[in-house]
Amino acid sequence: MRSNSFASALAYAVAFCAWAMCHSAAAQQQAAPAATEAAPKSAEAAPKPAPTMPVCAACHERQTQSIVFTAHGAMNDAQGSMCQACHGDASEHLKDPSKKPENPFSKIVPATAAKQSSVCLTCHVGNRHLAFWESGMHAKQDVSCANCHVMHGTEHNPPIAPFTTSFRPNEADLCGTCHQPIRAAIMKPSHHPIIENKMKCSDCHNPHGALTPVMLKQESVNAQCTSCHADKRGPFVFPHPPVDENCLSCHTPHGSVHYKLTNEHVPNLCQDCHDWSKHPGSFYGADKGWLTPQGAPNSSVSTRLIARSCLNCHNAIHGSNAPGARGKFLTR
Amino acid sequence: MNRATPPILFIGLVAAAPAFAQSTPWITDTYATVGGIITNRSGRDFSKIEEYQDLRDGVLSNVWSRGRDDRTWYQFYGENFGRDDQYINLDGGQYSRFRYNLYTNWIPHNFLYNGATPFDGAGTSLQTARFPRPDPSTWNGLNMGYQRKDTGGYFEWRANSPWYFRVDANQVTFDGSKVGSAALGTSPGNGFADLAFPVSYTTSNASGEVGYSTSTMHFALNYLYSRFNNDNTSFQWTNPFFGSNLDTTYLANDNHYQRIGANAVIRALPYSSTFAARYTWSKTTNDMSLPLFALTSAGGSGTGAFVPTLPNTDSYNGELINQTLSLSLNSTPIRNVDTKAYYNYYSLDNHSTQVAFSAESQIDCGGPCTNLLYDYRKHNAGLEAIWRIDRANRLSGGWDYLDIEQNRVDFDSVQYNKFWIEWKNTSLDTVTTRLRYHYLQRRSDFLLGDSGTGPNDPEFINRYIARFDNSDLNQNYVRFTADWSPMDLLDTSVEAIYKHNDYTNTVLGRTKDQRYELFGTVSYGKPSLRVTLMGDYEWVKYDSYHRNISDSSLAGAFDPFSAANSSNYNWAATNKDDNWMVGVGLDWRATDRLVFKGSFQYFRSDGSSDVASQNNFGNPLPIGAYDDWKQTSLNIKGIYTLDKTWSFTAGYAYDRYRYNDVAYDGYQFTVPFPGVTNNAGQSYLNGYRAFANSSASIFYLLATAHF
Repeated sequence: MRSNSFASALAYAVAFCAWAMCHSAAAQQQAAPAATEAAPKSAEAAPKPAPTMPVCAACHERQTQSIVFTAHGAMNDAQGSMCQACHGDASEHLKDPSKKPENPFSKIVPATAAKQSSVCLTCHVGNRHLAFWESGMHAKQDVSCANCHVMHGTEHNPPIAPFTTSFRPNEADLCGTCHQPIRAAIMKPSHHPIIENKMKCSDCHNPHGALTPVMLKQESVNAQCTSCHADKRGPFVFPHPPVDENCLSCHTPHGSVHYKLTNEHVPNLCQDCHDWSKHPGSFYGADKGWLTPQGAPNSSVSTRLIARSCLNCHNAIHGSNAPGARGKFLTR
Repeated sequence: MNRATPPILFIGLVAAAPAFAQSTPWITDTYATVGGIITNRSGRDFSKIEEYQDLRDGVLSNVWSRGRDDRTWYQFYGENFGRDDQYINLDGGQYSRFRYNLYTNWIPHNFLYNGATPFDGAGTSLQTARFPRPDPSTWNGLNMGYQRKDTGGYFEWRANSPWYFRVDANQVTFDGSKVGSAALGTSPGNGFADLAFPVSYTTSNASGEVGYSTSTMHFALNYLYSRFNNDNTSFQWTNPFFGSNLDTTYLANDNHYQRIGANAVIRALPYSSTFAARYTWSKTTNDMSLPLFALTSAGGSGTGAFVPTLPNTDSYNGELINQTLSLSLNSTPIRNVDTKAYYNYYSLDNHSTQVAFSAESQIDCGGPCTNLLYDYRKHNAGLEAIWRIDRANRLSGGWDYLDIEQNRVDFDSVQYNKFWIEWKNTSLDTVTTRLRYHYLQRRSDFLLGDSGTGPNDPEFINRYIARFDNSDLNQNYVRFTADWSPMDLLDTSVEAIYKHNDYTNTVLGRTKDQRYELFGTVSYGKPSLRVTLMGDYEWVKYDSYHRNISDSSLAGAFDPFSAANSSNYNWAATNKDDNWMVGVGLDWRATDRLVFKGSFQYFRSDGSSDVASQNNFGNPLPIGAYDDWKQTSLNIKGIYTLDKTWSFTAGYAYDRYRYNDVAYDGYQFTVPFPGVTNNAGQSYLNGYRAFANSSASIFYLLATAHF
């Protein structure tokens, strides 16, 4: 099956590479003793040294432990060079603990957002995802790296969300601390699977900066949407022009009370553009639903209002490949 | 990918990892969780509760593991192994040399449970039925939904820094069915049929990037290829209106997408400037043979015949070329002032086949059916400035201009001007406020001002229809945000938004829309007790004006300024959405070993549609239930830590959906109802969204081992 062949090939290819590198490394290790004739030849291996702990750990054990498994921890040394790279020169602090280093991430007197970010960018500026940091809204709005990336761990505010089968942290809880309207929108009945942790904000947006408005990762709204919704790329024989121009003409991507993330209830959404004789221009009110206003079964039910309304017939709303009038009027 | 592959991969990589160890030991930290879930559901169609997740009774599991030595690292997370919402992600690499990622993310998308359909083979490429079938109790059961599986990864080589090389690849598959329908005949009175469209998609993506990135500059070239394949570009179904012959619905065709991109960033320019640029060129193509026959009436309701469609060409070759160019210059020309100047260019060139189905065909459009090859050019430019007045005050503002030239029948030229200003204040140590205002003006060239020869020419009404996505517009927008920490451990935040769109010069169409939004959050964060309260209120209104034309033979039928009569009159609609949400989240450390976590959330929305017509012609009745939702969610769990190795979690969750809408209240499976045997235009429905009131109680018990 197609999913097995591609994905399995990918997985086994990587596993093979890992095995090959392992094999290569192991072979090098077997060859190594010949180059170190002075090394003990006893069958029992010499005890290996523990990971290096910086001198800072003597007082700041929690903070030091919190980065042990990270790249910051891996690159640290006994002098705490990595600690000082972010928190400032601590040579005087080591002599006199009351003399604090010039720490831009101090909770008491924090440095400006730009200053804090510049510390991180000293090392990370070359990362490809930070290429457009200066052009992005977060840099402009004085959001620093430390506002989102917490190096030493912290207790987070308890999230407010329905149960989901995902137990890992949800990125939207972080973004939603500032972007409250978006946080509310993703909780609406019609939504992308963000609260279910199947999608995250950074699937569409690059929080580290982008040239596209609202920091979309792709070059336009439609390119962003069709990167997942490839069936909407078309081109269709009979397109629906607002679809090609901007998906947001009809949809709101974060959440809606209307189905399929539409901005407005159908048929009104359609009638805001389409007005003609007969049914496009007719009003469909409470007397056209399944029940009369008195609650009795309605013999005058209108198929243009009930169920999916206009889409009952004009289902090919994103474009059609059907011939003739079936395609032109998006009914097939 | 079969379910054995990810574990094999993970075990292989983790087993290989120690071989990379040089002088420091490999350290790992792993949490493995396993347990069970039981879900009690009520309601006929609980697909809304399970829309994107697998709540079936069974085993829940997750593994989180990380490890490293001084050269190599990995981080692995997997959850819901063997379930429809399985997620596995592996990151790793060697510091400063390379990094990789592998993942698989499965998403169920459930649309309907316990529906009904008269069709055999629903969701396949051939859906047949013996019509008439007026009695839904004799129909087939129907569930609709598909499974989305996204598997892929990337490899990025950095050892030759500042050069880097990266390849990405992933494949996304969709399998199942989705919601659809089709008109039975060619007139709105001919009924429709709900159909379960077959879904069998594969999208394969591969991209490569090479770049050069330093502290002062960044250059990159990237190429992306994406292929979308649809195993069902059409499907056939029995159409009772056309003599129960097999009709055809056409679905998305296979397409190919390629994109070339180039990025450039130069920093440390004069005035602390950074120049950034991006260019993309992309092409979307597809090819298909045009259908040469179509099913239509053979001369009366309930009859059908296949007639020639008479296209001017046998095949359609679609080709869209998109280009974008973005330029941005960020500077600090004088102290405490930051500026940004930018330009964006977007173009769409449509080289697709111009198709015309002859007016001689029996499926004509009242003339030939031709396709519109839509294309556009967009030029967008803007200036922004931020003035840091003092430590506590920041004033920013900007201007954005967008010009669109397009091939569209109603508007060929559109210009946007937006001016905005924002003030941010932090005078008080514990308070940050922001106030933002923008005014947007859109002006368009309307091409249909001379449409039609007179008020009884159907084309005449086009003079008055202004489509809101391009029509003249004045927009006012205000947003106020305040963050206040009145005391230690207590944070509050309020945000208020007002937005008003006035579609000036619009006679028919959307004339106005407004939005008010208010959000608030309070959080208290003592280590032993953390509480978050959240409230949100949103009110949205859309106003529009329309013309009802029931008798086109009457004088002035297509002129909204003509005198109204009982057949032809204007009507105004006001659609409102009024919704609010409250929620509370709680983390309580009851003892050193026992933590309780809880969340409660209630959401309610009330929609309505009010209407008024000239002289109350047509006696239009307002709609009171228009996407009315009530959603209640409760989620509580207790986590008991036995020792450093073991912890146990017990949890309960409750979800409840209630939905009311005029389009679904009192739902029936046929129109007319009860079903009849003598109406070829009888509509057949399948229950989608009709019985969404549902609830679920979820119990779960987990054991976690830490090692």
